[in-house]
Amino acid sequence: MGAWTVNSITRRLYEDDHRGKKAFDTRRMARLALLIAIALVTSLIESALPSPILLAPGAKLGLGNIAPLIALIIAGAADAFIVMLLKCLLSALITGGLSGLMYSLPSGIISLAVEILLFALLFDRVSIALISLVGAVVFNVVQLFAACLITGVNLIVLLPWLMLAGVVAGGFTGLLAYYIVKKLPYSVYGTERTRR
Amino acid sequence: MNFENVKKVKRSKPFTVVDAVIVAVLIAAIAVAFWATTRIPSDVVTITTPDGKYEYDINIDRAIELEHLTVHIQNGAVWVEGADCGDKTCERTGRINRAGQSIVCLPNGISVVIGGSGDLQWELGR
Repeated sequence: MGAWTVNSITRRLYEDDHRGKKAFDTRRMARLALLIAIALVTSLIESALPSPILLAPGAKLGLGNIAPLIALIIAGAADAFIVMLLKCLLSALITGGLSGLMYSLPSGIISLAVEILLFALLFDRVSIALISLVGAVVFNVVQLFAACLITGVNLIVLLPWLMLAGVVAGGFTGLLAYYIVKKLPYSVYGTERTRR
Repeated sequence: MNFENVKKVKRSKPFTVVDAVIVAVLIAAIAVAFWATTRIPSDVVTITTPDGKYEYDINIDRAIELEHLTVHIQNGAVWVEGADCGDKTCERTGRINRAGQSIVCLPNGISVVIGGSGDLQWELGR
């Protein structure tokens, strides 16, 4: 481990020190592209559908958060972050809601960090559904605080509603992610030669 | 590809006992939050019109006649009458009496909110 010069950062990106393999090889690139595409398509389709709750027009299940969670399971924390960040940026660019980044980026980063910690420390004792559930609650709470700060309106009365919504939506999307990983055959995750 | 993780997830259960404990704690926290937010005193009625923002004390009964509608404040409840817009959504909202509740008249750009003007304290329950 040397100094953080431009050269060393470039080397770190393209070369994995202890195994001599590229950090961003073709397989990883393809996997990331696939996961980001899934995240984008699910979140864009969802934003085009009417809200599942008639009284709350902005409420949604957060199907787009399934892909970062699957990325965390099959490809690790770094790839999960890449999928989440690019999903936020690209969907903001596509829908034209760049100001929405002020809400989605902080809550996305913090909730994914919480999910990564839970997965690393408590997984097996807690289920995938619970990791997603806690992540969704954190997401909603951080988003509410961001909205309070940005609009200057006190929205604290919405806090219990948003937490409840996070429990329901996060639990549901977490179960979906769990069954997707569980039901996909092992061949999807790679052949004997590529399992490393 | 993290094959160990995939195997671990495939072997894991959809729910665990620890899940139930954590969800129970969360539900309890939500219940406390519901209880605490209803205790936030709701003594300010904020009326926002295209001309500006006006605040009234909810404990003083009065009728505020605006250009397009009349806002009634009586016995800690707020409601709207005599709206001249087509859909009358604001009238059908009925009476509101808790912090955070609101009546909105979209055609005329008027909103009536209990509290919500930013003067409520961050601390729950105060």
